[in-house]
Amino acid sequence: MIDIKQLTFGYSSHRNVLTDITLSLDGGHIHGLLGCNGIGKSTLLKIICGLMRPTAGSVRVDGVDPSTRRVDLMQQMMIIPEEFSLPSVSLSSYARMTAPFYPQFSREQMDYYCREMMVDPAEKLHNMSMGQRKKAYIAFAMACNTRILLLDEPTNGLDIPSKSVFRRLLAGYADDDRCIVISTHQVNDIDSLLDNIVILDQTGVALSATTAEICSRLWFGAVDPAAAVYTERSVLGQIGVAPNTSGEDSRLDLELLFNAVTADRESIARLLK
Amino acid sequence: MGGYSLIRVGRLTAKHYADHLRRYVMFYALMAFIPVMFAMLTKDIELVADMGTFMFIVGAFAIAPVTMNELRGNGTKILVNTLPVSTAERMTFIVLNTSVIYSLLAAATGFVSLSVAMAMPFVAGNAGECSAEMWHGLYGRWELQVFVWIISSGSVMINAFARKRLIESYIVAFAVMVLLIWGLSDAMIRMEWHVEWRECYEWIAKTIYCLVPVVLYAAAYVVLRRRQIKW
Repeated sequence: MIDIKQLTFGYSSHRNVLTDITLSLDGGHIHGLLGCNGIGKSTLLKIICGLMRPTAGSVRVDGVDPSTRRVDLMQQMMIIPEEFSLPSVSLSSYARMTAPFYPQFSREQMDYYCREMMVDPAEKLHNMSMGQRKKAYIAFAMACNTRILLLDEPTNGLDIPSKSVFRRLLAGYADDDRCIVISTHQVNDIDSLLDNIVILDQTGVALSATTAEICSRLWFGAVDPAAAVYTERSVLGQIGVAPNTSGEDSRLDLELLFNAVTADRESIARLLK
Repeated sequence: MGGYSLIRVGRLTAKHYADHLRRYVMFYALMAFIPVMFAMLTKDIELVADMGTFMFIVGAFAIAPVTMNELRGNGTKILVNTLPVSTAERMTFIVLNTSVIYSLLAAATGFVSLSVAMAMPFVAGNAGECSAEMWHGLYGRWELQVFVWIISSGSVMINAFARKRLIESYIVAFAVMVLLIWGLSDAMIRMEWHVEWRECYEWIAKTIYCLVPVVLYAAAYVVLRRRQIKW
């Protein structure tokens, strides 16, 4: 669905933000895009939705270059940015003017999402708090029923009950045809949703694997330091990542995985091969 | 492919006005208020027509940033930029909003100013004459309409080029325009070919004059397509 080949991008000619990214994001999955601050996660989402052109390499969404801004492709793509500005109108008015651009929009679904997230569609968006505004836009974006949904830090600003509602709604939204990409630092908010993990670092894609592959080959938790690939101290004692020799799937700890990949990507890649 | 759709252009125009209604009300209210204010201060209704012309030209500079502002935000305007409309459709909306729609609304605003000024008992002058002058000397003159469209298309071009430093870009564009006019008039005086040229080739000059906004709008479209300015 989304094919990225040797993509390089820089805001200036002196410094590249993304270097040599090769990645394939298929439909029917919820992909987690992880990386340190400034590594280019948000930039990659903007390139995927055609707002920026890569300096080198290519991006194809359903075989089409998104920077050509083909309407039929853009009708199938929705991005929820981390920060955004909305006009000073109610969500209902906003939806009335914006929904005609998205053929699959469903008003009933939007009302359902609003009810679940406790957002009043009649309230003016400017009068809402940041979290309320985000929930309102999430409700609208999901009701557009696009095949590709790009979310940049979706849980930032959401209160604790809303985070679990969001997880439930997103899990219901996912199907075999939809490609959902979530870029986030709040890994604990969404770790149960993800079924493919992509970690970016300065040199490109440090890891791209399904959660099933990761859990079958790596063990997370209390480990023997001698056998571990990565260890760290926590309040529970020494925890880390080690080869999974038990034959049982372990529970994925995204924070540990991220730290392990950042510390020693080669060892993790070797174990996942 | 989705193709080009005038319906989408209409939807985009409706959405733009719905989202920025307050901004446009302020913009046109200011255009109406300033001539009335001058008429009140001088107690002369004829000033409404003069100030109307001035506001019509100044407004032509301002309408492009008002139209294109929603495309310029650094990150926060993503939602507008990712709307499923093609560049050609968006450009059609920009052209319409900065030329035909602007001219119509500015003309309506001008006549509203005149009506308001006429209703004031302390403002002297012949309202009928002023109204006729306003039409024949301002909104009904094709030369002025084209001149205003040259300004608004030039302003669209500046907005297409300038990503961040809009004010500086306007200053540079103004300096280039002054230098160009100065250089051209200087050359005409030195070479003494202005009189014959105007008489013999007036139709060429008029055609070129009318084509200037078309060329500027086309150039702005090319720039926006190539540079992919956040839309």
